[in-house]
Amino acid sequence: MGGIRLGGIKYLEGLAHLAVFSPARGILAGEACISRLAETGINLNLLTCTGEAAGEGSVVACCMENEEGADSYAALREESEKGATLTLQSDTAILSVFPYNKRAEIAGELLAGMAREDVLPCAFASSPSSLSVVVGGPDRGKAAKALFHSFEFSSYASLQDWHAAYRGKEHLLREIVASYRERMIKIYGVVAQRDLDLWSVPAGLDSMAPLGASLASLGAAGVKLPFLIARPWGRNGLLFELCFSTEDAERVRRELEARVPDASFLRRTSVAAFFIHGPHFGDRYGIADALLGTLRKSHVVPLALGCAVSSISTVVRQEDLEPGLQALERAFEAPARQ
Amino acid sequence: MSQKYVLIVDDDPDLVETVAMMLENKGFEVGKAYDGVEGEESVKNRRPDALVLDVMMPRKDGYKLCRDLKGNEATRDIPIILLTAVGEAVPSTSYTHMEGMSTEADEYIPKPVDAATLVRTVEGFFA
Repeated sequence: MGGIRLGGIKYLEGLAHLAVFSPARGILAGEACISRLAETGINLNLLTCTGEAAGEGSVVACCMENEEGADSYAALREESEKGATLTLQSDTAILSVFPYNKRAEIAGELLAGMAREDVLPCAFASSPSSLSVVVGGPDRGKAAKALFHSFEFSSYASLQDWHAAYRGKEHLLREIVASYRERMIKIYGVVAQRDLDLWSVPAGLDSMAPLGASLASLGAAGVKLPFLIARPWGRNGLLFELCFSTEDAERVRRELEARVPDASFLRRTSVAAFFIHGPHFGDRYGIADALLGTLRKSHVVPLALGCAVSSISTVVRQEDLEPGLQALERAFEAPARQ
Repeated sequence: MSQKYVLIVDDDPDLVETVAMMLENKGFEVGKAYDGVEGEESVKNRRPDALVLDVMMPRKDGYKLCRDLKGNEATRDIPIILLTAVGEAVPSTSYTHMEGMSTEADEYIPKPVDAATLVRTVEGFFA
């Protein structure tokens, strides 16, 4: 105990993790998968999409209720006829910590904690205010131990405390799955951030601790990490997609070269991100599908997408930010832009 | 007029962040708590000028906290906005907009929250 002090955690278990590795490049190549899941009425608890990195095609990776895992796999099976590979893992869990507030040191500590317990997660995803990690069933105990070692929560000293707080209310975690369909999807707000770089960093289990140390060091220096996703990569690794401000590029590069010297990271500059703050992702199906459809119609190609807790974070080319925001205004009901 | 302090109590961190941003943009000072017990302690440590309270929270839900605050002479006059579930569309929930009407909150806003409405409601307490 005595780690970084945070406000709370969310814990969802009994989930399936499905990944589709497609040779087709570009996130919109994965849009068909997301649309098909939406048509089937499958609510996603977490979603990451990457266009292309390290010579690979696009990857869509998502979590849904265990009992919908098989239906999801079946719905996407025809992707394998186009050369895609599908993997399905049942009994995964999502642990989310908050508030995150783009603090790189929180991401660093989470990675380091998982590495300390020898846990290779299935995925990571940030939202504006939280950071989520997906772990396989056998790793849940170790992941929880890592969490409570790395962080201090004002309300809970252990996952058992958390369970006790929700005892008798477990249904509440799932009961707000919405049965309503608004004419126009409501969102709380959109926040945009310009002048970013998108870094792709592959990391096996043995690289996660040094990568975590890099992020912790950057966080201690005041560097913010507004976007983070990670999805399965190779047999035993994750591919991290991270956004830092362009002005921090040199510091980021030095940290990665010093601590993760074997990593062949790529940097894409002149990107921007927009963050759709809730409420509905995770609440009901079709939200990510609505976003991608809207962007496609506006010829805006996302470079990376992460959906966690109730929010959606999207990375685009800088020149696509304004068209992307205008597309959102046409498709979603939102208060004024921040 | 001195800056008003609003406490947001909700276990949805993205909602807390959004509402906090909007209130801060309007000149309010904002405190955050992520469950009912933490919210109660926060009120004891620093009296807010207004409270935005979610219903479905762990440890102590918004109904109980609202009833306790309104039942306490020292905190009875703190204006409270209760964020309630959409009762008609979610019939299986234990928490409905209609049930929330009995807890003496000053205002009720159904979820999904219209953040602009929420901000206007807070501003209305001090108009």
